[in-house]
Amino acid sequence: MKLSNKRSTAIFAAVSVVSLMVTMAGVVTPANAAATYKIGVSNNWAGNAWREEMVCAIKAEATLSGKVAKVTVLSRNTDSAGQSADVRSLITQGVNAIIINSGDSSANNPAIAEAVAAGIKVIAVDNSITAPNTTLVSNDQVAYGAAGAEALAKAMNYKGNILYMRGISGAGADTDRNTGFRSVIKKYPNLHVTKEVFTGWDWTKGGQLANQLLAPGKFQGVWTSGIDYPVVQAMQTRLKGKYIPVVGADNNKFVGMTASLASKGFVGIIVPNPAIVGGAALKVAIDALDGKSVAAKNLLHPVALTYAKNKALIDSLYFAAQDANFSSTVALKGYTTFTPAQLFRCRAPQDDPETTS
Amino acid sequence: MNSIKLKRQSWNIGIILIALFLGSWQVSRLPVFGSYEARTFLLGILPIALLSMGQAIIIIGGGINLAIGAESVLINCLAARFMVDKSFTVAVALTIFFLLISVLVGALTGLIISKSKIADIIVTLATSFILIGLAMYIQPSPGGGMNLTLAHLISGKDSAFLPPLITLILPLIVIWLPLYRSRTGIAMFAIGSNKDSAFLSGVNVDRTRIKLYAIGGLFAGISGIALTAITLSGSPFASISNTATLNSVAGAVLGGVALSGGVGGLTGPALAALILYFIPTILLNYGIDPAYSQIITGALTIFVVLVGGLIRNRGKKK
Repeated sequence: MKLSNKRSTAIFAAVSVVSLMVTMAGVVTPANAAATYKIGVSNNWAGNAWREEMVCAIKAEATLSGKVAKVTVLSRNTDSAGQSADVRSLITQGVNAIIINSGDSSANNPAIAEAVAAGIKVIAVDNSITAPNTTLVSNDQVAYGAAGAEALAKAMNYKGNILYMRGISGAGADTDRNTGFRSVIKKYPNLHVTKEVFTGWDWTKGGQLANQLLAPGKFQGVWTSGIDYPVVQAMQTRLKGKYIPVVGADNNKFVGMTASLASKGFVGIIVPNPAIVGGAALKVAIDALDGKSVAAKNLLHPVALTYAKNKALIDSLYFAAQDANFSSTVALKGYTTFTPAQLFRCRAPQDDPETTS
Repeated sequence: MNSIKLKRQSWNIGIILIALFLGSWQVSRLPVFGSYEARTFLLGILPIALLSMGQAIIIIGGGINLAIGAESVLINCLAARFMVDKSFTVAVALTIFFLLISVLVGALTGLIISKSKIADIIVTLATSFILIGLAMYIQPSPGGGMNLTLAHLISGKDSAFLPPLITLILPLIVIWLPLYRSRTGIAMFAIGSNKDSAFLSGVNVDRTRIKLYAIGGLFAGISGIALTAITLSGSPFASISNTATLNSVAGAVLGGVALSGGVGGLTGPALAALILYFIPTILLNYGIDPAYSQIITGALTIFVVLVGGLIRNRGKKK
């Protein structure tokens, strides 16, 4: 009795799942047959300021291009099974190109291969993917690690101990930055990485680590993988304002501190990692859809900035009205055409121009 | 007995109705719906449905396994590392071997809990860190692969939605039904309801618990293999295992398994995975911040725990 009851439930369940999936085949909503492009975006990390800005850059550039009818953004915190489902969902929605910031360099490849087979242009932004027939648009992360390390070595007079604060172990960008960083540091025998930690690219964790590790005289320099301003804040309390050089990214607050604390002896080294690389990815996507030949790898080449050398540029990168972790680079020559105001509006082509702010 | 059975059935029917409602909502948003989209749905729910089923068995037996996501990630990394570029036969043999490992890991967890008398939640929290560490050691960065023939057999190819459907339902028929019928199955409900009464009635509590953790581990192993087939790679990230573990508990609870133990089945959790999949997907398609889907899932879980508890308490008083 028990068994038959249970089995009938199982069979009923199976049947309903199948019927749910099969009987609804053919429910068709005709898509708007405009001659312009539909762009899909898959982003695996939502609620992160950098990623939000990346998405806004895609929307803003798409609106300005005049060639895009709709930008569909599937942005959420998810694992690779979830992101693969999102990619497949974009295929179903008939997009012409998919811009993907992939949480995993290879785990979405089966879904991406299906997109490529369907004739969709796939652009990997920020994080590289290993799927064939795709295009990469990203910061050159090896150069990012090397540029910051070189500037840090100089600021430390090529000697002393370094606190090395990395991102997430196993993440593509972290591995690449480490390659660049190590290649520079090994050139200088008097520079030593005496402590290596992973911040998980988490502001709170980075700040906690800095507060635990920074002690007077222990380190002569800090390299961070972008979790920068909490380290400077920790110096204010732990080192009583005796600043040591810090390598950070173009985070708004870090840019501001680099400028405002320069007079107090703080050397901030800014290596931009622009979130608006999303805008560049959109430009590359449109070029590919227009039939122009597109390089397989489109890399931005980051340069280290210091207040002593690049005062005017750093001053122009600070936006008092924006958040602390806003990525301050607002234009990429040759790629983006939006103004800062257009970027901040974050309007996709299909959005109502009146209501969206 | 009959009213309890009816109640359990009604829970499953309720879940099916919610899943059907959300499913048709989602389908109505798609320009087309065919077997390709059906496969997309199935691939979206497969790993988490299997994990929810494994978690359900352990929760019914009065425990909880916070390492179940880590077990799945470990098997995912093992499979991706060692099955890349292997022939079909070798890949199948390895699959069986890795499933045995997952059973062993589960059994070991159960053994530690039984022998140490430390709460499940503490032991499994600790083993989750160990297992993720192992996974990172085996597969330091995302990569690896799987024999394509085997992968297509498990997760289908292009529009073939039957293979993932079979992968989802087969464990239900081959593992759950025999277990439910067996002496261990009765012991499972007994120790979940009241460990001391079960012990006094002659149930070997420790052995039953070890068996349940082993079977839970097996489901985690199948989930890990399925994940490998879907993604053709292994990812050693703690964030994946944490999310998977939390979703497995949510899936079990939404599927009608009482967190207090002794009540529930496996069909419910399998169906609940559909709901967990549809909520964020629908919100996402409306351009609503996906963080809300986590709020909805969380609120739904609390609601179900509260209402389920109330109903059961009322039943007891009568």
